[in-house]
Amino acid sequence: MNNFRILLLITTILNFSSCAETDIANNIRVLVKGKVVDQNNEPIKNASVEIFTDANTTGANRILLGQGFSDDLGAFEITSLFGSNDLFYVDVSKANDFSRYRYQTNTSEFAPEDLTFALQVITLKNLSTFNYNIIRESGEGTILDFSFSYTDPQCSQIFDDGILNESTSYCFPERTFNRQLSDNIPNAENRQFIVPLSDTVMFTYSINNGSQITEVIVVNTANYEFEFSY
Amino acid sequence: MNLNLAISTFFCLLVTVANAQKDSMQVDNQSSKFKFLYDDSRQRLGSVSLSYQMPITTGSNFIGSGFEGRNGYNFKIKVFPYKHFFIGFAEGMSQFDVVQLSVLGNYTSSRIAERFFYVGYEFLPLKNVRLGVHTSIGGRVVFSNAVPNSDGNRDTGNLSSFGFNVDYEFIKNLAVFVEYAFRQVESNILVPEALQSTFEKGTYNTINVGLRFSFGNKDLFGQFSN
Repeated sequence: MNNFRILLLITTILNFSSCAETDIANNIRVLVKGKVVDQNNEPIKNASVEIFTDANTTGANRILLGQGFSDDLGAFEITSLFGSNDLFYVDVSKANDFSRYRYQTNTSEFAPEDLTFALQVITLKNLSTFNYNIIRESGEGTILDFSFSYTDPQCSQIFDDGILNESTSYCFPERTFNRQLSDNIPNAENRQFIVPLSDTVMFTYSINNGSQITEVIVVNTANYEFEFSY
Repeated sequence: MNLNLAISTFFCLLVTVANAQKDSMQVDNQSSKFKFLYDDSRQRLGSVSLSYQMPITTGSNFIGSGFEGRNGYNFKIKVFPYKHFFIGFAEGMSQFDVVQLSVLGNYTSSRIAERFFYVGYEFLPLKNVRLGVHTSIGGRVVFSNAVPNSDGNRDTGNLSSFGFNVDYEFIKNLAVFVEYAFRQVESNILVPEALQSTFEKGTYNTINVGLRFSFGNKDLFGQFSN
């Protein structure tokens, strides 16, 4: 019976802690401003800017505080509601053919003195879907080790007290993944990942533990098809 | 600054009317034809009114640029302390839709609770018709903003209201009336300097249509003097 009471108490505490109310402060507005450009430094107009807040990461309501679009010069100035919460995001995007950007901070500990979140210049990259098919044409027993190295087009910057936290932020990081094809799984068909358009992808492979060969692929179409057989 | 000027002008008008009333009473003694400023036979102690309110946004400010008026109501009670001078209390509500999210923040609508005292004077231009002018004193507003997926938030401000009304008495104590008022909110919203000019003041007009019930046949001082 005592154990049951302790369990009930713990459950109640957990429920209260996870259902914290997301705060929206009375009598205050903030300004969120910046500029959106593409990888060629050309302004992106009509980029969507959305400002969210969330009491915490454990199930509170995420609330949209403000929204708007960039103008012809890629600039935006959006008036937003504000609240003191663990999470405050500004998400910038342009349909599905551009990468996304996120600004994140904790407003329960930090609010800019001038009530302005100045995001400076944000780069969204045109995206390409890199489709690949790797087919085994040689006989059984042939093993292919391969990897793709590419630039992840996403960018997420986390600020603590207004200062960029480099260890938790990432912006266009280099990614690599390795796979092996053998008798169990001889082919890799209709696979894909997203890369910035006009970027390069490094395809490195070796057959039966032979020497490594690297191909540099320039992704020059929105739907790039890569075929390889071994 | 314009607001202070308007209030000063209004009170100057009241003083002028008060002096004119004295003259008019003298005229009344000589001839009963001149009843525009004062008519003892049409004196009332007070009235209560209820009206439908149509808010209409105006100006380049957070209300004028971000809101669109929907509807509302207003309740007023007033008494005549001396002759046709009146003082009163008003409580009402105006409902607005948000039409420019990027100007205001992400909320879909706002309900403004309005509360103010007011003073004014009533003229008698025609038989069965009363014309009142008034200005508010010590008004206050609370904006209740509807934010999706939340309990919303509130903004507050001080309210000034100037207006006039035309009443038509279809029976002795009951009138239908139309009222126009210009309203200005000095908001308490804390904003960055770049938004100061937008949020410092908000303006809207109201047009009301309603019924007014009057009571008593003497002004308030008259009640005690007799």
